Amino acid sequence: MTPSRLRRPVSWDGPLTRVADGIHEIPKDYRGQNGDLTMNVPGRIIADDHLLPHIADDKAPEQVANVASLPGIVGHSLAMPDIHWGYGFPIGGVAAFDPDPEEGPTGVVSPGGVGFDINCGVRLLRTDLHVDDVRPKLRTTIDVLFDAVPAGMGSKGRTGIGDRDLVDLMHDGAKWAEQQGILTRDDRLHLEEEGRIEGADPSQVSERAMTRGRRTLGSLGSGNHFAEVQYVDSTWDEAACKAYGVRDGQVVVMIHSGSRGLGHQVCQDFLQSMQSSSKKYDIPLVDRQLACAPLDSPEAGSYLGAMAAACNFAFVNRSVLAASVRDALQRVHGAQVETVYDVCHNIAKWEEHTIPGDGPGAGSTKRLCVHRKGATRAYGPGHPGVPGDYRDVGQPVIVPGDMGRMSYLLAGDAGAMETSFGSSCHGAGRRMSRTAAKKQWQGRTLVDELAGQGIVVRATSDQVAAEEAPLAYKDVAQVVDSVELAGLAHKVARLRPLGVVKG
Amino acid sequence: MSPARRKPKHDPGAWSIKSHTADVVLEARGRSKETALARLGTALSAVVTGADDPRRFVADEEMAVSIEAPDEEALVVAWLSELLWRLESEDLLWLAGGVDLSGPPDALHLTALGNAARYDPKKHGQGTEVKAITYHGLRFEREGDAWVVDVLIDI
Repeated sequence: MTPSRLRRPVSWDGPLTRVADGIHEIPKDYRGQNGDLTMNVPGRIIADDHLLPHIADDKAPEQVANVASLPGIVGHSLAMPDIHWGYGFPIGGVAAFDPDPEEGPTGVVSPGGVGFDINCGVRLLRTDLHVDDVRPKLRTTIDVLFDAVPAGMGSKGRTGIGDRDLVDLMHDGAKWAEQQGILTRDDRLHLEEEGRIEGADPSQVSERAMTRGRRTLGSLGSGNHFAEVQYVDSTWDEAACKAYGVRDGQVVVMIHSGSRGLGHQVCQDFLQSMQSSSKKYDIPLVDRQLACAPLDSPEAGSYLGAMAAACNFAFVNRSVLAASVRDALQRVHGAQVETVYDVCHNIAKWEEHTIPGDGPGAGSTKRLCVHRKGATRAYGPGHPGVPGDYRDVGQPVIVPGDMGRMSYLLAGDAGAMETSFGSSCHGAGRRMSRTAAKKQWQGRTLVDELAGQGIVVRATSDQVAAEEAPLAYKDVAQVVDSVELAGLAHKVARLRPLGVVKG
Repeated sequence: MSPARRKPKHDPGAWSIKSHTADVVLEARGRSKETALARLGTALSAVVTGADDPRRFVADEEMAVSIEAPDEEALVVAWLSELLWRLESEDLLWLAGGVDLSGPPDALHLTALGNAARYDPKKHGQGTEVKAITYHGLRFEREGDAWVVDVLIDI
């Protein structure tokens, strides 16, 4: 395999056919840029006419096609509207694999289809504060948050944790956090999978991963991770707003973080071992980062056990961060803080789905291994996986945008189960490199610009703030419009930034 | 004088950090594979500190590394992963040093001895946290009279 060169990808010129509103298909007989690709299912990209040209700009569709070549994939190799070029799998990619097909090879699990930051995700907290309560004390609020939430390169968590506790929390996730008093039972019941992925096997997590995790539990991280104070400035779905407890003018807090060094190391460890697995099971790879193992293999079992452990670590990490936010807001405002929901962006989960399309297994309802890499679960009304008090309106889907413009809260629709294995977008996606952003916004330019708009930014350095400049990201409103057009989820509330802590 | 104690000569083309949409590409060059790899380590330290040239930091101690890998691509990933591990577990930041390569192509062995600083965000700066080292587009090949290594790191 010849490695692709690290130059900026040029426009993709492969075949793309509109098959429904906001849904475009790469046909199964597409042979790839080198003419030697064999796709097992078609590729499908969710995007409206505004976004589609931008998507073709970075050749991410080629990765959608590459994923379609993996054994045991069913339905379609999917991409959400915030898709961009990733490692092997595109960011914004969704793919489901059958562990027990009636014909053809067993489906696979691929660490590259989950990502390095296992269970990177977002938690949304609601408060009893109105934006007019917070604005007069906004600077103080963000300063207190900045001191309360460890962030940035070299930041360590303040939660001292021994080996026994680390093993327990990898096994039990948010359940462990509830027992420690870090979150309430009500909070826990409003997390995806109630904050605990079954099947975690901490014995599959390396000592290196555990050491990295021990030091970073309860810290935000760096890059695009953040804790942002926002307010609801528009609402659409009255029933969903009532169920989720959100209303116009309400102050909310969005936390974006993942499994920190523990998850990163788990992925790094298994990416190495999966290179050998791919050879052992004779799985041809068009891209080394698609390394995988059959779902019924011991190697897959080891990875899934370690991945679940890392997922549970991430749930606890976000719980500790949420507790820090809660304490800070109580101190400054005497606020009551509760959890709206918590979603995972990078995960592989066992879920039951009816296989769409007309490929292998089409029409049958089966237990599949669904990979979401930079994509969010979006179950519709009535699904048993949605918390009881939200079931009538569908699962909350939290979509961060950027720190200058807006983020969104959506509700999952039944269409997501038919079209995208119950999945939706996860954010805005970058449109400008970090280097270009740093050149454009030098020194304190960006922080001052946002302050002029009434948005307080506390970052560990001006460089970090510049890299995350709002205009370095695509317009999340267009991403959300695409998701609505395709029937995956719909708008419930628009959230505007007041202030943000960044690492 | 041991490799760790030689003052590195200034070479503006030694390594660079390049744009890539959401992440960062490290590129290092050297007359030998070993030199390119040593400079790649310094490039990684530049990302995590945000410093133009980490070789200007005062060294606190020596760092010794020994790793093995089944091929050159895996070796590059293992080398940077090891430096990342040492930073995160021991707060040791690679500044500069020497690398030696030995072994057959399917059982490569890398040993390194270099200057390292005890990482302190207040003293060395907070750049960008590196999550992991990827194989994406990795190249390690001869270009003219230099060896060039390109690696994309996930941040």
